[in-house]
Amino acid sequence: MRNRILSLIRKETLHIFRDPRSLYLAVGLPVLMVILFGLGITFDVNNVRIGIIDLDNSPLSRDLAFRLHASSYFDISSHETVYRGMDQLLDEGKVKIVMVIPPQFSRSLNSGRDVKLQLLTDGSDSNTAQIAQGYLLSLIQIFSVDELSEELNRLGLLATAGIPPIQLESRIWYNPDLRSSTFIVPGLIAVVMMILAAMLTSLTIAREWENGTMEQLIASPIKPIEVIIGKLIPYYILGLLQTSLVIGVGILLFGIPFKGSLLLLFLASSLFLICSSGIGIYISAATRSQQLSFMLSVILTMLPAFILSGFIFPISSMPRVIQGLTYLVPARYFLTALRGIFLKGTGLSVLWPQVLFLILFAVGIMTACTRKMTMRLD
Amino acid sequence: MPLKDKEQKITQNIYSVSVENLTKRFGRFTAVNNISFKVRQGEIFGFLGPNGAGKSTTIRILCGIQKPTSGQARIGSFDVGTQSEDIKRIIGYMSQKFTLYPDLTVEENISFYGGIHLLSRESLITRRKPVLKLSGLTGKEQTKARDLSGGWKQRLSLACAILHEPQILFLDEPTASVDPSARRDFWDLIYLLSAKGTTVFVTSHYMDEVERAHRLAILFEGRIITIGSPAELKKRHTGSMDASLEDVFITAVEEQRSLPSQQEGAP
Repeated sequence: MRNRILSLIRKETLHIFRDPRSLYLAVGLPVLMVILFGLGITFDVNNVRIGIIDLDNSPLSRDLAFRLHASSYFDISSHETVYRGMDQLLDEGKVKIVMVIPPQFSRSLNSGRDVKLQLLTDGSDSNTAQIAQGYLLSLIQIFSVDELSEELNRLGLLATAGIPPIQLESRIWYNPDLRSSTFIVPGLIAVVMMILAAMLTSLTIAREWENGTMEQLIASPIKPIEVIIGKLIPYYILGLLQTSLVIGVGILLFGIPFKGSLLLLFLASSLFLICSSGIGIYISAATRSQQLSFMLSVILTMLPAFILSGFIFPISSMPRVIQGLTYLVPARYFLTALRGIFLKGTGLSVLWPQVLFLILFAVGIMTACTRKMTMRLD
Repeated sequence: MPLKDKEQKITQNIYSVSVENLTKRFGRFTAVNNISFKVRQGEIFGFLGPNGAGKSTTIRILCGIQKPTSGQARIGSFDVGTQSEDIKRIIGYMSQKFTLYPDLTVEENISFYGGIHLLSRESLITRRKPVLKLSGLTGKEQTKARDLSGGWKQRLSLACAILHEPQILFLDEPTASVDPSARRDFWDLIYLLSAKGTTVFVTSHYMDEVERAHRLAILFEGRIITIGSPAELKKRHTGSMDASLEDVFITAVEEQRSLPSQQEGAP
């Protein structure tokens, strides 16, 4: 048994090295994907274009506008003192938010009356809209508090009232700069490896069928499990190399911190690679056609990896049924493990459920592959 | 070499292959229809028939890579239905198509099949040389299989099929895409193997080359319509030893057609 598996490993390795395209694919694609997705997928909301209609046009209202201008979150693309043309700017997408400062803004504020600011937000991109609105609200809040305390100070009330203001000292852990790449890139490693590992193995068994070499294998005393293991091991090693490459890009290019244990990372990667390579092998054995198998493996891994793994969309906010589906996506466990290992330095004591689920999936997919590998022609 | 010498190698009462009422259907199509025959150990047994007669299907069933619909077949003492793993250990199989790895060299292909058949490193080394020599591939060890021409590919397939010294060798149309001189060489190889005691089961649709088999069966539309040594068949169907196997085939098919069908439609 050992001898047969070794022969198969040797043969598969030769196949990999003899086909330069698969090598380019194996090395170039993961790096390219991580760089493109890493740069492209970002939740950071910066330079939101805002239009201001300042009907008051007082020093105070201009001060408010200046505060927006001074923050890196907003770009004031239009600043008017009359109510005109803003509908069109919103329609054309030239501004995302319009803030209307009412007439008498400054006077009302100084005389202690209620002041209402109007915000018109383009909600078609709800995520950006919400984040930008949040930024704007807190900026206005700060402005409002500043104005209030200045007023109280001027009246000498702040000191005599004896109300100590509540001071918030907030610390953000794991990703103190709140850079979305720190969050995205570890997840991206899981997504990219899910797609790539399945893609590479999806060709192996289908190629044997298409070239007729499967007939020769079937006529030999090799067992299905030996074929599966012999095909899995070289691609597993290739997958480990790709994973290291992708992690290297993440650390060097995106400055992802690595706080956890290398050994746990190796364990999780190994289990995950068995799962995703196994998916490719299963599809390959089931379709027996390289083209179909390739397409299916990309579709069947890319969509769940992006959508159902928690990569972008939090699983907890999905409908129950969809949440149930995510348990079938190995990228989900690997992704959680990667974020934990990279950003928080969490160990097995926290990540054991992920490791356990990966083991279950690996055993399951290997069993399915062995069953699907019929050593008969009909 | 006189015929007598060759026949001495054949063990009279030990059968390498015994088939009884073997049938294989694919849906409504009956590829192999209730055939029975036996092949003696050390014999070269030819399976002659036009394309689609059921030759490949029979060979695949005997190699344990397809399941029969009904009937029995034994390879040595192993049953094809239940003991296909044991069968695969003692047979060599060469498919009609080229089924080796085109991107691997001659030597790599041979080593791979040696490994699959659990040859130790030492026995692989000692056997590789004579096999390469026998198949005339010496000097081409480092050539990629895809760069070999048709005849050489066949030789490589044969080399891979005999490396583990199988007791029974199944060759499915081994000379289908090979020029006449290479075909003659190939049959010389088959004789050499048979002389060493290997049973050789070979299919072909070339009438002239099957004449060199010890015994042969003519397969037509899934049935064996006649079986015997080439001389017996000529005598039985044409009455003349000068007739060619082609004449035998034509008369046998005509006789078959004029017979009322025995297997089907019986009242």
